[in-house]
Amino acid sequence: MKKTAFMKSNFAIYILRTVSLIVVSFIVINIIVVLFTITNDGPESITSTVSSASCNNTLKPIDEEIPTSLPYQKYKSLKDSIDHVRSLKNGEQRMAVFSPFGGVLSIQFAMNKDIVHKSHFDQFSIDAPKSYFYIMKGWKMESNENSTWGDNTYYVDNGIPYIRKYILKSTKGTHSYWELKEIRLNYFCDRDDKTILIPISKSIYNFSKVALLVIMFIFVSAYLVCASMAFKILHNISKGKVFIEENIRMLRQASYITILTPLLCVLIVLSQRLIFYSYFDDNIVMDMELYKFYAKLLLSGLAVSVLFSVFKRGFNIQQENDLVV
Amino acid sequence: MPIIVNLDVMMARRKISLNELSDRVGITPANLSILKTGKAKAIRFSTLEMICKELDCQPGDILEWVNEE
Repeated sequence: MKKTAFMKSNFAIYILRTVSLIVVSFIVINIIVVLFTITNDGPESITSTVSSASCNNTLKPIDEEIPTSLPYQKYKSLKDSIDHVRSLKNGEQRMAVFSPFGGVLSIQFAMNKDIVHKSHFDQFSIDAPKSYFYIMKGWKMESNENSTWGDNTYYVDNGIPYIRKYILKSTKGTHSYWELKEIRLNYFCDRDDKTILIPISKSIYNFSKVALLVIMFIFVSAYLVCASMAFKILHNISKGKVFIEENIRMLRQASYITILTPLLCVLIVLSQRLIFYSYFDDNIVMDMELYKFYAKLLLSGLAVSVLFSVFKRGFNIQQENDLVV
Repeated sequence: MPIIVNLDVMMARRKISLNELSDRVGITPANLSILKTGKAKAIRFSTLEMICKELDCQPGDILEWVNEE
């Protein structure tokens, strides 16, 4: 059968090569990440709940404890004040730039000396120095909500991040017990979605902010182009021009965009495991929600790709039909 | 294509124009031109029948197989 012009074009060959390269890199990075994840699983990751185990907690409370004997109103106001101080110590988010695979943000951490009195809260945003972070999407702090003794507690004290988690310890005999351990971290954590924040310098922050804005612009415009192409195809179909070369060209471009974008994002997200290798410990786990989002994008891309194949076949049949006398 | 369409030869022999033949056969001049120039992928038996009837010839006078090897 005679090949159509678009099948012959160098662009198609180039895209095919790029797709195969991305798929191969994706598989290789996945294998590397899985291998690293396996080797990082130490004995501390055992989370089997031993109901008979006792709990050993010798650490000081993170924040000031309020005596329960206080009257309710006073207790409530004191509790609110302590919670407010805790949120300031954990960091107030100032500015953030997001992209589908990462982002940057600046946070102001309140040091102990900054918050002496409640009246100083208003001064906080002016006085506290800013810290800059790279938001490592796709990876998050391990949650231990199903643990017998409670969730992992992340907190910042004097600008230094810590995590308190229960670790199952076993003695020489059959008895085992949970011990609350405080671990100093070399990365920070988003207080809402537990995403990992890697400290960066101000110059890298400023550069990344612009770079991420450009990437976001490209990403959004690519999807807007896809949307406009969808409208154009619908317009052509309504005019009775179904299996025409223009529709096929637009569907081919849309399928490349919608398949390559999530693949590239996953590639970048997984590459972070290698780029920020020194920051990884067994408290960091994969954020499956983000991968589900990418999977949805990829599925939509595959659907467009199927549509492209159908239209291409339809175009060939239409051409043959037009040449039947 | 190893199948050669000799429609133009037959039309010249019968001294008939493309437009006239297309009128008599009942197909558009554009489609008849596709057949004449050899661009056609297929021909319907009904079209072939009408052409043969109008040109008073056999299908073999219009279509010819040539061994390309």
